[in-house]
Amino acid sequence: MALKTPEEFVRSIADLKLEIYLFGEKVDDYVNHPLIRPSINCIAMTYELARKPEYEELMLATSHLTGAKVNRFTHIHQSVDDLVKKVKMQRLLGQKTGSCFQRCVGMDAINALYSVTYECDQAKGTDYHEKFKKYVQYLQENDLVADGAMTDPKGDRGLPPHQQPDPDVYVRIVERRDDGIVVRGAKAHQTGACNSHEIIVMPTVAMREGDEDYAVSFSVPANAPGVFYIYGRQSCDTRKVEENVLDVGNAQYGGQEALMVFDDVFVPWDRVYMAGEIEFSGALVERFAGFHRQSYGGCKSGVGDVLIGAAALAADMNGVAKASHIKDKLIEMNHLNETLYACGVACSAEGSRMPAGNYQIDMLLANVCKQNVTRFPYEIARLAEDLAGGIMVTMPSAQDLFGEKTGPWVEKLMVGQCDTPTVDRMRIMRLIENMTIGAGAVGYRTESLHGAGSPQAQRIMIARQSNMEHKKRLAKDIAGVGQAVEPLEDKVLKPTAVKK
Amino acid sequence: MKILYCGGCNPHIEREALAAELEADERLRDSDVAVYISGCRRSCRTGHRLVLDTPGTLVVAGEHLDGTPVPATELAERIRRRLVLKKGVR
Repeated sequence: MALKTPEEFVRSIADLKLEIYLFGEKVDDYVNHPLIRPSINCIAMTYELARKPEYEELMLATSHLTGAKVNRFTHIHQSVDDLVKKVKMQRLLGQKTGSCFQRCVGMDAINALYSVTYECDQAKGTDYHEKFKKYVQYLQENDLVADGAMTDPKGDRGLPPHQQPDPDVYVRIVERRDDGIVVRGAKAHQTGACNSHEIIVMPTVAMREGDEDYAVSFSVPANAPGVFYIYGRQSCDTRKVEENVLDVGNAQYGGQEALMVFDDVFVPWDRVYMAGEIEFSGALVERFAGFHRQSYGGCKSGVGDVLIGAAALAADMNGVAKASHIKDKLIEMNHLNETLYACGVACSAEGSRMPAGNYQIDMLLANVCKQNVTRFPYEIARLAEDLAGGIMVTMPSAQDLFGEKTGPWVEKLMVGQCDTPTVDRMRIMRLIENMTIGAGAVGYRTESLHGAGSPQAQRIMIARQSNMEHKKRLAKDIAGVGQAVEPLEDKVLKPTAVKK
Repeated sequence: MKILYCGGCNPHIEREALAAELEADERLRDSDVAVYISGCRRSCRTGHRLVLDTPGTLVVAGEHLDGTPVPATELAERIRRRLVLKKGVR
């Protein structure tokens, strides 16, 4: 069993010597950079929990390729049980980090590619599936993190990829050689890209005729020549470089997004999983999106658990926990949060076996799951802010709490319920701030809205799968539409007199 | 005695603390029993079953022992009594 320790993971990322730019400068010691380290800690948690017996039931799975126990983030789902455990694992990670923990994108990418490469080979005689299986085995045996890179910058959304004024807004093949392909372009919003050993690229939309060079899927090491990263800003990010990180709220963990550029990157053929097969590009997009929409039922309910706990603590510390409206707001938060989880479990429980042998979630319910995720964290966040009170956004800084003149005043005036030290009340308020409008809100709110596809994308999928003709037939049957008018007695039991 | 955990995503009880308490009791070490500890009543470790037919098993699922409600504070003692007195272990 080749499970890395968290320390080995961090060292392995540092050893890649990735080309990362932040605030206009190349960052050399990125694993120790205060803006970047919290996101690395999140993925390190996926390694830490996998080595603990009390979590291995969720964190580990038996590889169908090797029979070895592997981190579930590198596993190809082999059963409904695997799909459900995936969601539970993600809830656990959300609880332990209070943040987007980033490793799920690669897991969703390998599960989508597993079935699509198989079906492409069957239909078109290509040789992608065996190559891909070897790649998955490589990820498993070395316990690696893969970033699933789907979203291109896209430019003018009204034009197809091959008609874009600047072709670099989509990743595409620019050269085909005997030994491989050369690609150019970029992927945006890449969660966890700078914490990954490998990058798996997929097309971002179903490609049509003329877009063959854009129907490309491949893997490269994260430090492949020509790949570089421009780190994304987050709300309140520079609080992480302040002397006292109390004002960050969640100082240990955080999310990460990057703009990833492919500047004429060579990919050998054994790492290419799609190269022009436009007929299968749509299936790859749909299946990756489906798995990723399932993921949100787990991760966001886990992060929601932390926010609800913080809101309840804020109520305790404010001395208002017994008020009935406070209790009711916490009930509502839990109701919404468990609904997200319920949707994640439901789409897993209704999963089915693909021709390739792996298990796929139920698409309709996965899209329902994500559609709820685009809304409920916003309401949960609103209720958390309600319970915290306005002090959450007007509090003095940590420096003022510890300042010579200001400290005693902040200490005595920011106190809530007297048994709680002021510093702890401020910590909880900052955590709520972090998760609702700070750096953590990037993962909990806006990513909930746009991650795995914006709300309209799910509505399109829900519309496609809602089986409206069947529902109309049900209604017609009940209402008697199109049937001859018959005496009521023929259709309904005569009411009998009530016995006294 | 063997301890088997669920994945710990919804712990209503302190699973590790319960396991540690049982493992610290020398009288229980040679018990030929598998104790399944799930953190909540969903009982994921035993396939959502609150009690197993297999001989030599005990199932903890949140505040339940083999399907019977037991407060968290009493779980360790109840398990001890079963294993030491060999009562109630199938």
